[in-house]
Amino acid sequence: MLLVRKLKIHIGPLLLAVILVVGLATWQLWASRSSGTLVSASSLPGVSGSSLPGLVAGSIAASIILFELLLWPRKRLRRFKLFPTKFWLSAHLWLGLATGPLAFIHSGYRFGGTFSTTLMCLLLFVLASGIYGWVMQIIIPKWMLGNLPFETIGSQIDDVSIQSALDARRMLTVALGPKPVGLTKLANLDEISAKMRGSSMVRDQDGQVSQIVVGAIQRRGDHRSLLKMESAEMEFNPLDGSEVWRQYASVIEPFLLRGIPLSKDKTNARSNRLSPLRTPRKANEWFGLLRESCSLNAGTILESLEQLCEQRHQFNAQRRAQAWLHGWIATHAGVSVMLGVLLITHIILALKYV
Amino acid sequence: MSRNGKQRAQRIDRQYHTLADRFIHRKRWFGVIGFFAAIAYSSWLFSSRGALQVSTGDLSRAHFAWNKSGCENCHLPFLPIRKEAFGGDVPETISQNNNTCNSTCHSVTDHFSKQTNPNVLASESCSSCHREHLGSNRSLVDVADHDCVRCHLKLEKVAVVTNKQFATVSNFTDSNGHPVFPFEKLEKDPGTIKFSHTQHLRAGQPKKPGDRTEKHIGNIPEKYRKQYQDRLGSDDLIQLRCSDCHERDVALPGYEELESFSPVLNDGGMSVRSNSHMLYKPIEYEKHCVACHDFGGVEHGLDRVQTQASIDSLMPVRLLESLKRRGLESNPTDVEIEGHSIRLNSLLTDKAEGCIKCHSSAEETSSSIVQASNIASRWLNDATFTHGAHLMVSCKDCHSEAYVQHDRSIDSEMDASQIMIPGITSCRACHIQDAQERSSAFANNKHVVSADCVDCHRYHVDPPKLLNPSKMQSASLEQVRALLSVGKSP
Repeated sequence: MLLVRKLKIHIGPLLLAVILVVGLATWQLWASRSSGTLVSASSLPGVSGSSLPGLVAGSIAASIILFELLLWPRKRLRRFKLFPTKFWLSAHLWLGLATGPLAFIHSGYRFGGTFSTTLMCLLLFVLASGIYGWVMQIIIPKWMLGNLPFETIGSQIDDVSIQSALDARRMLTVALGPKPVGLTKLANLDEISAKMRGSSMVRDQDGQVSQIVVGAIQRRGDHRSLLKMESAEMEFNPLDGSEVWRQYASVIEPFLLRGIPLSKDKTNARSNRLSPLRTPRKANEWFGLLRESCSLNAGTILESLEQLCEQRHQFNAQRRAQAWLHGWIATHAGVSVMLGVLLITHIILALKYV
Repeated sequence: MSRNGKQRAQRIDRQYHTLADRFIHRKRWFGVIGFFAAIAYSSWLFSSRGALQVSTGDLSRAHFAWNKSGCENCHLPFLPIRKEAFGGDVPETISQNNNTCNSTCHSVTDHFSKQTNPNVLASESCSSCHREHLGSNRSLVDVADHDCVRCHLKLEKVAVVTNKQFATVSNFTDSNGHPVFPFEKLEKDPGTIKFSHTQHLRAGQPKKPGDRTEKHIGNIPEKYRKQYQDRLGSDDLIQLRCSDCHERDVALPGYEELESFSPVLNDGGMSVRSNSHMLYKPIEYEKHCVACHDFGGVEHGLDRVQTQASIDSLMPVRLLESLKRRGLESNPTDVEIEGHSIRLNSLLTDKAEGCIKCHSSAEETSSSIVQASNIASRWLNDATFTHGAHLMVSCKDCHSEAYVQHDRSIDSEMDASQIMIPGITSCRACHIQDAQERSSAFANNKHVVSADCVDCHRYHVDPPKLLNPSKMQSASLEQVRALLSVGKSP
């Protein structure tokens, strides 16, 4: 049923695209044969863009290209509810694919001069990037759904990472006491976060950070349980506290914050690359060693920290996946804009020098 | 410590969707860059130098200078120059475009204006046939087949004369697509010279091999012997070659053996193609025939009166020579003088030794002794056939009749009546129009080439017809070359 419903969305634009391409190709062939008795296929005079079928094919292709470009301003005008997005995208996809054949029909299956060749190449690039994006849109989200249970909103990864670091600090402060003096200095996360998104931290009415929210991690399936812990219910060995704080400050927090603006520092970035937590397997081994060096009571804390690191790993994977998923759009859009402007130039020049 | 959904939700900025992430930033930047790059490129395209980018190809040699000086020399702004363009077949548009050619540079005086329906002519734009932007090597007179066929398929509608039966031309492949060559409709060669190729290509040129008419080098006057010294076969018999009579108009050093009469040599042809329009010079009696057909100094090519005068003036000299040879110069008898006179005068009438051995005699009332030779200098008058383009095939491939050898006595008149020019079927063996057929034929015939109209024809400018089947006449080589050069370069 879902498949049928999905197909219903595509069937209209798909049919329209096929009818346009097949119809105009047939018309062009008929016109080229009837414009004069063909002596042979080798001396096919060809129907160029200035002939009636060529002109119609070109006009339809140009109209489609301009329609495709409307996808961008449409987002600004979504309050007017101009057709559902899925229909809009379906038309964008299928009619956009039809522009390639239509452009070739228009040109009489020739590339022509430098300008028209440039135009054709730009169109082919836009089509290729669009097809690539289409494939990515099919593959990547499905993969993310199955492999990235900690997935969050892409633009909020850095913010959520800071939150996680803050939560971890609070948890350690409440559970193990304040950070011992003499350890690596921690970054001012409040300041960083405020800089990034304004002050929207979880605070009391009087502005004091008195509550700990550790986790708030969306999990799916068996991992849905959240780490809920209150410091008052736990007692820890002071030696564990010192060791955990030390490892947190030197290894865990830099890793949790990896990728945020602070990491622009090359030295820091390098240290992150060399972090013992840089892969899930290495992180697992590293936490295993840390557990061995601490008492059993610290296990819950360490488990919580390990989970935060796992979350960070998934955020990194999500970043990479989103780069594949959305990275093409910039070039697709940029070249499309170029194509749109040059298309108008082509129309003017073609009418002038036809 | 409170932990509730609201607090968790607050971990995400509610306004996150209004904030641009790096992908959106990048998209905007690329969009802006694309926009301004396209604007810059477009602006340049509107300059005269940039407009070259719009050109679909280099202009032909004739217009090559305008490649860099702008499109407006030919293109009227916003007026279709091509008739096939939408709106381009409006008479006013065609007229304006044609005026651009006619008024500024060209003076197109005759495109068969007298023979062509004026309405049809008015509806033809220059660019319909003379297609531009096909590269500098392309000649403007290389008209596409389609453009020829446009008119030749229905010539009765295009021509002013409507009661004439016009040939229909649609292609070169079908037997009905192109008319046969004019001479193919003739029953026999209209030439009047009784010449047998078979006889002349025999060693010694006898009527029958081994008979007394065989020519040894000693039989011809001494002054001509040097010419045939390297043509001697067994028993000093002269073996002629094609090139002894058929001389090229353009020298082709290194390929002297091309016209030698040797089936072995000629079977393969030459792996060379000359760009020269190589033709063969007309046969000249004084050069090619006189060695064997010498009439004692009587001038060739004179009319009846002049020939008689020539004979009369030569008679005393020849008589004296004859008597000297016989030792009778001191006391010739009247009978001997009269006999010699008869022999000389028999030049006019003797079938065995006189003019009419080779020529057909003219009527008694005619001023000429013999009929005009009517040897065609050119058979394919409506085409631009040249031997230069066909050097890769042997002479025998097309003129096989000239190579026929047998032991029977020859009949000169019958041999001479044969037309030794191949018909259109022979051309179709190599000239194949369809590209696919051409490719498949290439496996068996390495000489296959295209069969475009312009491979053989030029536009029918109106020179005097050099060879009309109904009115055969000879033409000078200069006339032939003049015809070939017509329309060669724009």
